[in-house]
Amino acid sequence: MLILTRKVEQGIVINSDVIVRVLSIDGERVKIGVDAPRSISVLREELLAEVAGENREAASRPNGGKDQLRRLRGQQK
Amino acid sequence: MKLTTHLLGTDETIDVSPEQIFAFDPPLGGFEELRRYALIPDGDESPVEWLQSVEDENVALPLLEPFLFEPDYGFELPDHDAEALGMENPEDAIVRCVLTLREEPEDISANLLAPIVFCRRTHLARQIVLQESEFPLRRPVFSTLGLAASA
Repeated sequence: MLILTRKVEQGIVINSDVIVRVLSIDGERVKIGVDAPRSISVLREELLAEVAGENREAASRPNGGKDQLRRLRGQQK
Repeated sequence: MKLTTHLLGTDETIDVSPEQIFAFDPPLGGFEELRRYALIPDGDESPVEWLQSVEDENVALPLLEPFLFEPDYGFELPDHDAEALGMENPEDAIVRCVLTLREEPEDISANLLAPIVFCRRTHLARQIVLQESEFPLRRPVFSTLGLAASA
């Protein structure tokens, strides 16, 4: 992993078309600007972890969910 | 092909056609080691479909069509995702969201933040985590399907 020290308003350039810039620092909060082409997906890391966790929870009860499913089924018409 | 599943209770083998098999690249979050899944209807009367892993019989996620309970649902499929999936026109896309079944009916929710898009032409699929989405990770669905009264 590459580790760089940056000050406010300084940035790093990734692959010549992605710019990550430190906009401001306020205590523990760092505001970061990401300037990237639309083809680049930029997401908060914890969001991906939440989605993965939700997928795992959804997969955790294929049988235990039968009752709830039956109700959904009954309601759907 | 034959597929082992626990969907029907204990170990069962069901027949699935190649038409039902989709490859995920990148893999589904939380199941990084699994690539291929079968899309299996829950039954005639059910709005639910199952995403059953071909490689791990223990992994099956219920899916729901989002437009059933959220008529205004929509998102822009990023160009690079459309390209990676081999989408040529909108009719190629099948959109589903993951349904999380929980004990309390009111807690049953669908993931509108990260829909799964299947390409019926190429049989590739991926879960798209929407950027700047107004739609939530956990959208309750029981009441919206018009169900609460008879629950």
